[in-house]
Amino acid sequence: MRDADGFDEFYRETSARMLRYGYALTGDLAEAQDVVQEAYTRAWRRWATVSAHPAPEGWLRLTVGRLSTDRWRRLSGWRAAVRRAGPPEPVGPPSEDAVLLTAALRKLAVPTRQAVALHYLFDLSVADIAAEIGAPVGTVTSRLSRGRAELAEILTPARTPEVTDAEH
Amino acid sequence: MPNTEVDDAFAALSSDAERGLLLSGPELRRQAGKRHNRGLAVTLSAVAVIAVAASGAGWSLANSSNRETALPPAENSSPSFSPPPQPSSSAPPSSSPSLSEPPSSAPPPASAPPTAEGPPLPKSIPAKALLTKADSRSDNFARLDEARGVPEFCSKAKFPSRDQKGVSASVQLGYRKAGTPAEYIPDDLIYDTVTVFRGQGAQDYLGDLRRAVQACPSTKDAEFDSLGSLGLGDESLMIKRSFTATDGEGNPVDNGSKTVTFIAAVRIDDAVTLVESVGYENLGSEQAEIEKVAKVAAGRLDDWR
Repeated sequence: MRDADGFDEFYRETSARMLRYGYALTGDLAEAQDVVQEAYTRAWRRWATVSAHPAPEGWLRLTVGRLSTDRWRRLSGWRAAVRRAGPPEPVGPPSEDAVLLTAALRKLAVPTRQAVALHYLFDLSVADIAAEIGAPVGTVTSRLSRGRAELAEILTPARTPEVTDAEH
Repeated sequence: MPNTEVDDAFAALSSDAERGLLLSGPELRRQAGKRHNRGLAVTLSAVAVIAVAASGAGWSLANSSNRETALPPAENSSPSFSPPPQPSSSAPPSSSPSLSEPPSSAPPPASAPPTAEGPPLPKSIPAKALLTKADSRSDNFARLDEARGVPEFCSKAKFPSRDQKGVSASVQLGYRKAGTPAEYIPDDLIYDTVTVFRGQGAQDYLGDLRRAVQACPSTKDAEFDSLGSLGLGDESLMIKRSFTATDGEGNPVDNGSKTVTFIAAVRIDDAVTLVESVGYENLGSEQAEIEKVAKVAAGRLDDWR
């Protein structure tokens, strides 16, 4: 018997930040909604296993990461049906700053984007990220360093072009 | 300072994500019960999910302070919707971090353990996760004592995903396609290996296979071609392997003819089922049959994992 109350509590506590993570990975809030709902649907289907794990939120993050990477293959049929039926779209337009970041994130390689998002959105350390995604610590360090530098380079001139000009 | 820019940008993204809509927990569970099967059934039931949503039930803002508030139907929500209230120091429950604060200054999420290791590994791969004797349509079926390793390509093919391998098992089947009489020899010899990986190992394994084809397009023994996705599971890959045909004694047939076999890999979450045909004796494989077998194997894995 699955613990519905336990799942609902877990969902209530974690789904908002999971949506932020999906948003960072996909760059589109509507897609992030789909990915996150699908991930929690899978979690509920195997909730007895997921809830017994010491890090159920880590399980969700991995699933959201996989679905975000494969979202077109995995969810294309679902998305098509959703669009035909007129889904609730996110409320209002995206903020300018969010658009800048998602555009910048899309320029990063997927593993780099994932490492950066895990660090900034979940405050995970390099060691935690390495353990979660099953990569060496050195690899994660390198991805984080590269990702921060690339993001800073993209974001800084976009916000303060006059500073860039003055440096020449 | 560059990282301030990045911090601020992620804070803006977090705040912007509050526009998102998610089903309430009970509604999500209810819909999950309907969506047990994949494929067409999923698409059809997705329409049902949205039909429910369009009638105004079950959707709520991602912002935790509005979590239990059902939204009006989508067509009415845009013009009349008011921005969600700003979180105050007393309003949000302690388990829900403020979405508008920069992550660098916010405490780590309470329910995110510092060392997440992904889903738990099973102790073993059950028979139901693999192809079965019934799938083989022959008596030539066995579970191997040891799981098979990665397919052979060439020395340039590397499989670092091997380090993330968790549990694995293989079966061997002498495969008869539908309609082949029982007294005939099998049409093919096929191995099915199911492996559950740690972390992102399953994704990496598919990546390693793709790179192996690129690294080894042609060796002295065989040629490899990627035939692309099979449209199965979370991702899939079909590889064609061609080599010089041999006669019944195993000697090369000196007329340029090739024997073809296939490798089909399907990933579902953290697990991969790999169907590898090697041909029965000196015979080759039929692509359409291997595609059918891969679909069955993917279904077995999906039902289990």
